Amino acid sequence: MNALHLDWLADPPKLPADTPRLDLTFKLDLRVDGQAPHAPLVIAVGVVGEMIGAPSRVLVGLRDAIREALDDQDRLILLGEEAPSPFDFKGALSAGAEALRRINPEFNRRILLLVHGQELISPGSYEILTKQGIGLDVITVDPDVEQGAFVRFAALLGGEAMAVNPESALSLAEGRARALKAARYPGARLTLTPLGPTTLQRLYRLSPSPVFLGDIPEGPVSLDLGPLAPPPSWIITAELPRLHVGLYEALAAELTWLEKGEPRVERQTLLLESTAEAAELRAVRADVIAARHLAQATAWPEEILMALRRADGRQIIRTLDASLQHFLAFEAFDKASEIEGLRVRFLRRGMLRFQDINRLRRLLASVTTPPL
Amino acid sequence: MTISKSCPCGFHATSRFCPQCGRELRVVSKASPWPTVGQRLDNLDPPLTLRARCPAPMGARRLRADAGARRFDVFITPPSDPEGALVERQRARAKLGERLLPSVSQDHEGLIYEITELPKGQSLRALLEANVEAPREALMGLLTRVFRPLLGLFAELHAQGAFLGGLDPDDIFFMEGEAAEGPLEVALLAPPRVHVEGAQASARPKLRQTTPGFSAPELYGRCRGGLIDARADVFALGMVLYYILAQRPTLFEAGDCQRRLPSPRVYADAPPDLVAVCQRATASLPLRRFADARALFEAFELALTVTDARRRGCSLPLKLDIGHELHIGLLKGQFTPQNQDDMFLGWQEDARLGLFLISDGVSISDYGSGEIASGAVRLEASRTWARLMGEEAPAKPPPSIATLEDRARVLRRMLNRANHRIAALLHQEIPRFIGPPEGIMAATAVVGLLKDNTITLAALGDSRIYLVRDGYIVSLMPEHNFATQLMQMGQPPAIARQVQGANALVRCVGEFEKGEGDRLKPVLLQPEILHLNLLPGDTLIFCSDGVPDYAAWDEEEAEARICAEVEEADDALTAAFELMVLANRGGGGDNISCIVLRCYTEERRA
Repeated sequence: MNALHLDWLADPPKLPADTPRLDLTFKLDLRVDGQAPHAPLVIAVGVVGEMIGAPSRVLVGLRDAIREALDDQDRLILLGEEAPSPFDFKGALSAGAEALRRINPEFNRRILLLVHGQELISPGSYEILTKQGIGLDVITVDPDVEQGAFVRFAALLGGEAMAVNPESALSLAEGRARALKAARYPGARLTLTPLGPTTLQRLYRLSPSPVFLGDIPEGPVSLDLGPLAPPPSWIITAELPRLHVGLYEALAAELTWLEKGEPRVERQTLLLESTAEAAELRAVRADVIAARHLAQATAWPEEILMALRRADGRQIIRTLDASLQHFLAFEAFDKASEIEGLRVRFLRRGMLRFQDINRLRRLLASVTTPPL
Repeated sequence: MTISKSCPCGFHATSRFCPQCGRELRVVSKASPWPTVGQRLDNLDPPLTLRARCPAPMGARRLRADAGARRFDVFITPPSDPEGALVERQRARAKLGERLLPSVSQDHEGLIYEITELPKGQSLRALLEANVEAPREALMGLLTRVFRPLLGLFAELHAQGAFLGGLDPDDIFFMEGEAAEGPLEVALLAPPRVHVEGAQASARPKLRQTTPGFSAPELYGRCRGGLIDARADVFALGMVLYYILAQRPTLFEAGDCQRRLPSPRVYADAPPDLVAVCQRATASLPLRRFADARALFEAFELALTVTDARRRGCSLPLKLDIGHELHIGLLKGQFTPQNQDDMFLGWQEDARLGLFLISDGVSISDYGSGEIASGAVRLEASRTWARLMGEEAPAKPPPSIATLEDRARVLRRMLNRANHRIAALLHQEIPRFIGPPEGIMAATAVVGLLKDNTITLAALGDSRIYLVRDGYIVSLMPEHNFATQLMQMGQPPAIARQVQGANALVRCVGEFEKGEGDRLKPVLLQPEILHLNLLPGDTLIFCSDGVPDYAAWDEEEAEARICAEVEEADDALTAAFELMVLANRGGGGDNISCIVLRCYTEERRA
């Protein structure tokens, strides 16, 4: 039988008497070239505030398909009667969401899911959790499977995806679940809506770990804040058309969370002033650009995967070269030499394994900059 | 406050922001505390008219002003100095002391005005702009009278453990010194900040005022998370050297793109030893640059000495240590059994005469193939060598190589005859050529004709000739591809490198047009020619692009590795072998060929 199993961890901490508010910070880099029709805009959004909120309940779920690979099954209990298919990731999420439905929404609810990694993932399947304000972390027990989709899913729901060997999966899951139990604001979400002249392009999570979240479709973007330690932040690339002198609304941000069961909202509007002063155009936000480089690099494993599908070796080499340069620029020499090895291996064999891509993804996510 | 109901985009609304374009519809008229351009400030001493705004740190304003013929720089802060701009400037003033232009402070309408009278001399930007049109003979004067004192100023600062994080050419002035032809005196306006090496305050990335064309990549946040050190100054100084050598207007993208700048030799005939120093100073990664201005100063002085020695030539007869390698390339060999690289090497020690050629056949061609084209170039080199040796049958007097122009003529003729040979090969197979001539087989060629201590180099295509000396490497010939051509026509490098077919060859052996009766007519080839006086200690490398393309992941690193391999090898033969191994270790995705020439004198070798 294939099923989702769960384990309730120890009692969560008590709700603090007076929970403080959350707030947002913005940092921008906007470079205007007098000739270009559009100006690239980089927006760094961060969450600030006291990182203590409501207690958490963490559901640790295990797919039957990987049970045999793990040695300790006693602490895991059956989640539901209806077993989803072994390759149905959405079914596993639905079962988890159903199990957490009865938990008081004042509590922070998260699922930590152990999967073998070969599940079929359809875009949008995470919305089951989004609607209920449930966060997600994923542990895949086969390091040889492509992990990108899990990384993006988990990041969109404020979590992390990790790949481990079956032997260390349970201990990792337990450690992670305890860390997640640290309280946070339940249902905390950030919604970003482009206004006026702004066209949003790509979205990256910068912290807790950099992840490329994808191209931004038209309309608002909704993000789960996840655990607030370290404080989450995102990088958004956008562009602006040439603007007349004046003040413009560029972006609306809405932060929502539950405080003592009551919904709280913090709204901010990002305003841009277009001036005629050339001197104003030379202000470069170096820390935002550095953060953008870090975040942008996390899209490269996806680009390599696409190039592998197209058998576009030249693009793969270009992307590996860019990764190598990236590590050198951030003076991560050991990582640079790993990429050089990968590059030569690809030139010799003409192929890369999923394990290599996962390794590249982890390496790229491990470079950090000073906090924004 | 006035309310405008119609937006310039044509939308009408009553809300604060236009729902269509997002622009604020209410125009708030607020009194700005800052003086504006055009304003006349009669209460100041002397009374000033504000002319133009300059980049300034947060919480301050900077303007250029004048009073009659006198020019002034005005730095304005509120007394509260909310962003600490004034404090930082005072610290910078204390650190730089006499090097700064003197200024006076005056209070005016609740603001502090720091007024500096600008000297009569020229600003660095004005000097660099004048250099674009200057005759080439002025180069050494600019290097010794302008660049050397500027470098000296930064070297002094770095010796004190401080750095500026870049320079603004509008804020540096040069005045005539005591000696008429001696170095100019340099003075600068107070910079916004002086960083102290290792201090936490200077290590934190902040909002930066960059100077396009002079600011290092790390100031744009491209490296190390935006952290800066003295290498940011080295980059700025390197850019000054770059503009002097390349005689080019400011490249606004310098520092704001990840790839390194094109060699100054793409734009102008610059001394190779100085180009090598310039390229290291302007490397995109900080760690590849000189550690500080003192190291750059030493390298610059050495390069000046070598340039002077090269101009005068070596009086002792040079000897040559020669090595060569030809390899199909480990990966390339798996896909194609043909090696399309070819080479010729002729050396007559008694006559101190040599001819060296590397030719790389173009792999994709509709008519013929690359190895036939490169073979044709090699055959012509062999024939030219026979003529030079007086061994041609039927016997003819050898061509004159007495003057540099004679030698260039021999090489031009050789490459043009190779072009004719390719046409003849095609005519045998296809008497009437129907297709486009661009599809005909072709080859690159880098060739050197050495006589005594002078080598005449000719190049067509993207094979390379490197000069290695004292731990520096420089590519002597520009690559003849579409991107380089666009750059020479004035396109910014970032755009030129991204156009479709940027790497396509625009000049090579194998250029034809259609003549009468659809017969192919070879185009007259005009290879790039360079005469170089060799010195003991020089190493020349002729190689196909298979070496630098696979030696490392980028051009800078590849050249650094080639330089290291060649300098560490015991002899030229080992050096050539190591280059072949280097390219194969990096994948060997292309044919590999190289000739290494090491110059020495008997005393030096001993």
